Amino acid sequence: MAAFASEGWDLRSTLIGDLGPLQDLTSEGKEPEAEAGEPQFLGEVTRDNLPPLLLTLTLSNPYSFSLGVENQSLDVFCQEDNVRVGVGRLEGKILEPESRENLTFLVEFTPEGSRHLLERHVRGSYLEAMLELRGDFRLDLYGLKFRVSQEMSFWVYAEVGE
Amino acid sequence: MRKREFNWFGLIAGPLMILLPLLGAWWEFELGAGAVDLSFSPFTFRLEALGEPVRSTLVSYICLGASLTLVISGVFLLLASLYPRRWWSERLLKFGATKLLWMWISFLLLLILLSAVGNLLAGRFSALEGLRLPYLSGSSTPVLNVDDAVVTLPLRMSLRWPFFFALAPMVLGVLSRIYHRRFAKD
Repeated sequence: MAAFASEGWDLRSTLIGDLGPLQDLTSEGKEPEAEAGEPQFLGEVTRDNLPPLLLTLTLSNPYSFSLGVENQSLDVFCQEDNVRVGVGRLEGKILEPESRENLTFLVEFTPEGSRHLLERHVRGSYLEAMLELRGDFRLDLYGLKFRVSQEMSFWVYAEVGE
Repeated sequence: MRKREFNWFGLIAGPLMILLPLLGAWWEFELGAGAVDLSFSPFTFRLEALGEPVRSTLVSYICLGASLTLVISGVFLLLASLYPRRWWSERLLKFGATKLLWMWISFLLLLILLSAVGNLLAGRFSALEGLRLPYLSGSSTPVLNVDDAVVTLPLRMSLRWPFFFALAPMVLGVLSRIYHRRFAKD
């Protein structure tokens, strides 16, 4: 009786007063968002060389607690031909509460992947291909590990030198 | 002159009972690395979720009530044991001797029930498939499929030393009640 009286006879606040950061998880409209930037080759693309590719990903953390993005690698496929062309590596980062962070995927092409892209997707003097990152995106929330299957496609476009 | 008599079991059990609520939690539960930290006993309750404390007024008052009950039990047991031949001695001892026994048994049953209910629900709902809760103490790492995500939940439960320490005043309390019969007979 004393407990209920001290909380103004409110059942919910008597049972669990303040949920703290857990309230964020139950409130609608709060979801992390991802935005991919323009991919950029780290060097000149030539007919026999495909340098690594940088892809910037801006992630937002709307919650009042930090989220950990783990070190991870995702396979990169040529979407048109469904051929694995390389691997994208992401260095882990802690997303501070209510912040936006830029994460960088470094895509390194396999020799077979480079050959495929340079032989099949160069039109005139331009490389044009739709690539797709496939794999599990891994998040860490205070020791709880979340694995979300992810497929994210993006265009690469670059002038091919001789 | 008649030699002064005491209920020796009660003399030891009483102070231990008074001390017990100050010794902290009996049981701990950890989910992840600070995702959920719960530690409680009949006298104390601490819950932290994502690094922030979560308060429950109702549970705090229940713990306060249990603490006061045990302290009063300890004082009654001590008085009854110091003056076992007074007319009020048996009444005080009846109140004080077995309160802790019921608290300890209820606490144990509650913990077993929590794990049993968790495991039962895991068997009923597909979203909780893979959840296996240890009983009382132990660890497990269930892997759950939630929507499109696979969630790994490392969890650990452990009984702390005050839980075992409580056995001493509990057993002594019961013995004091049995021992006290000799004063009633005389």
